[in-house]
Amino acid sequence: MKLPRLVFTISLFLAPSLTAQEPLEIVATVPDLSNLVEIIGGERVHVKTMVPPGSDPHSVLPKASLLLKLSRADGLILMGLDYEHAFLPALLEKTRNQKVLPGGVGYMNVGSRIQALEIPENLNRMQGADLHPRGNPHYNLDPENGRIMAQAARDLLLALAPQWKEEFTARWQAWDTDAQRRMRNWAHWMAPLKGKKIMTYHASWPYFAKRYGLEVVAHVEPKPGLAPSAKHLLALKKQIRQEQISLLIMEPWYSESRIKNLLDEQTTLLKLPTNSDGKKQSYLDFLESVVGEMRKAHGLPAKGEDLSSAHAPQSSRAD
Amino acid sequence: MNQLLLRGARVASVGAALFFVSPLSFAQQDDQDPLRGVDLDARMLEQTFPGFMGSGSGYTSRFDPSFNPAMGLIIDSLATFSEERGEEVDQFDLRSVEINLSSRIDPLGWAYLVAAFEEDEFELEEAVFIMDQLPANLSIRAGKMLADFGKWNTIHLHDKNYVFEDGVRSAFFGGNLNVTGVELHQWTGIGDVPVRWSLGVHSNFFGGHGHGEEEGGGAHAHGGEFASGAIDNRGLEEFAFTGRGTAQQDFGANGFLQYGVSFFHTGEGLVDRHDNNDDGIIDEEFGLGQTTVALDFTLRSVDAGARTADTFSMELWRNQRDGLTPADEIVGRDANGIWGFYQHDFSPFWGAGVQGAWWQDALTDLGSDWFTGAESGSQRAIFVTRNFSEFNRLRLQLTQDHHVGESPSWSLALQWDVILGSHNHPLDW
Repeated sequence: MKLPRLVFTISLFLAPSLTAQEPLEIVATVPDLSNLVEIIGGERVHVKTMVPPGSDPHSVLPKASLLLKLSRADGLILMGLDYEHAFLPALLEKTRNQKVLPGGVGYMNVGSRIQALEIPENLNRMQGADLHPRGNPHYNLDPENGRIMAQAARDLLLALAPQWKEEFTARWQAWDTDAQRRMRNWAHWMAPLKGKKIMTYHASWPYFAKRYGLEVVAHVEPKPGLAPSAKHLLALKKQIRQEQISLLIMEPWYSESRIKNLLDEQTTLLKLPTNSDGKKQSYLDFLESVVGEMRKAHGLPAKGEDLSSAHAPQSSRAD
Repeated sequence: MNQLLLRGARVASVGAALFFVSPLSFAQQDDQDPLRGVDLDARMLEQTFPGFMGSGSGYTSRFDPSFNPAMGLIIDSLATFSEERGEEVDQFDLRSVEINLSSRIDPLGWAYLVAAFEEDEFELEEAVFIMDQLPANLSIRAGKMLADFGKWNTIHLHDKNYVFEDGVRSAFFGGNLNVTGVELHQWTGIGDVPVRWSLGVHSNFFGGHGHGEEEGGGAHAHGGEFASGAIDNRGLEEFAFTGRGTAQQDFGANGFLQYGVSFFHTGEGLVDRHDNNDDGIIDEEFGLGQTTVALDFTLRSVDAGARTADTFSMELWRNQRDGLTPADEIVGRDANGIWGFYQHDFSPFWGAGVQGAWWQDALTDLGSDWFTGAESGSQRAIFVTRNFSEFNRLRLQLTQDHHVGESPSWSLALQWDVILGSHNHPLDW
């Protein structure tokens, strides 16, 4: 009698693992990508994020727990364009998980799908310490690139679990429809700001500026990755006055003390992160908040007219 | 019949070509295709070896730089203003110029080499082959290397947070423990806690930057050097064995707490040679044993939202070694040491910290008690670091050294390190 009871007990333990389909374990490097994978994957995915919300990716430690997460993951989705230079190469060098290595079924480098801006014409340390040879990696700040990011997330999930194709495709379609609706609004809301001259601390905003016709005329960092010198700050102050620069955008992790003397009455300091905060705020909500902050900095209400009921969805780059 | 065979062969060759040639080869035949009109063989070669047709970025396939080793050069220079034994010693010193090369060799492993020019001498500090594709996250490191001992032994001095080597390591090993041998490594996870261990066996071992056998070859104080000396007919007792186990737990959103235990053991592998008559001829040679165990504890926390960081690390060492009495009798001696440092980074550009070390004299018979009973040495330092960029660093350090049997001495050091070429951010454990 004991043996059948033992077999029955063991089968109770084994049954769920044999029948249930485990969620995919996905590692995303930044919160924006986490959010997209979670939305498209739904309950079919567990997502872990490497860069904590509100963090400078250059300051992320390549620590062993990240290696462990990577070694147990089914998939890895990353920004690419050397955005994760501070931590990801060391982890990829150590992990044996072939799925998440370049060429693996679970490896998705979104940057490879992006038409990058600011690709250096030549690589020389005179151009800065924080150089990105493949182009500026802050493409997530252009919502049109966000649609490419969402497609990449969808494609990663489809490659890993084609049996859930209908679910993933339906969720992605719903997200993309919402994204297009919002983008039409944002384009309308940002129209009054077209041609405005802005200054940024780090070269994080070229994609956003290009999308909405803003002109980035200078950076507080004299070269990417270098702290501003007194001489450079003096030149910037002069430039702000001469060119009537309306806005200075700075990531929250930079010190405000260095630039407080730069600002005058006509220039607003806007502290904005370059990624959403993950679970609390979706990627699209984050972009909408950026648009809202830009408008408020120019004396406009955060939101303008909602055009969603006025126009049908338009075709665009995303499929 | 022959014609039929010939036709069959043609069909087969076309089929084989279609099978092996990437579909991209055909997909890219549009008006923008620079290879339009080029025959199929040349097209395949160009797509396999970019640049073959001269349309690449100036490289041919034979000299494509992507297969070259990554190269880096680190210049570690030092201006020291110090008072040693009542005399002022002020100097500018190019402490080392270090060249490092690294490359994957093949799918099985990779290798790196670190060579340094110090005081007009060329010295190979590390030359290591790593087989990193073994099953179960096992890997093998073989060659001349900095042993996996404690948290900081594998870090070269110019990469450490302070200017001078910690006093405990200098007293017991003469500097970083440099070995020639083989180490087996494995990492895994127990739950969500990453752990790793290593075991090594080594035939040559010495402290510092590797003057081992040369320094060990001359006459010197009894048991005062840390260097292996056996050349041939080596027995198990003359090898050294090392090991380390460590775990690292997350601390906050972007930090870790790491702790570990390490050991070094040799039965008779350390050599002490006596030139009794000062005639340049070694009259006696003694094989001495040593066992050193270290506990290490490191807390590192980086606030990536404010770009500040805190690092605290300490190691507790227990050193048991054979020593020679004036009558050339081998006796066992114990000594203990503790060292640590704390650094706060105010930003990626500025940091400051303190360093301290205390150790018992490893060369006397009095050190068996943990914190009393022997003459002891100590080291205190305060340092400020200015990072102009990721590749350019200036550090000012004020140090008080109190070596065993000597009066305390002060030094003010200005260290300037620059990195040229390749660099990386290694996994921190």
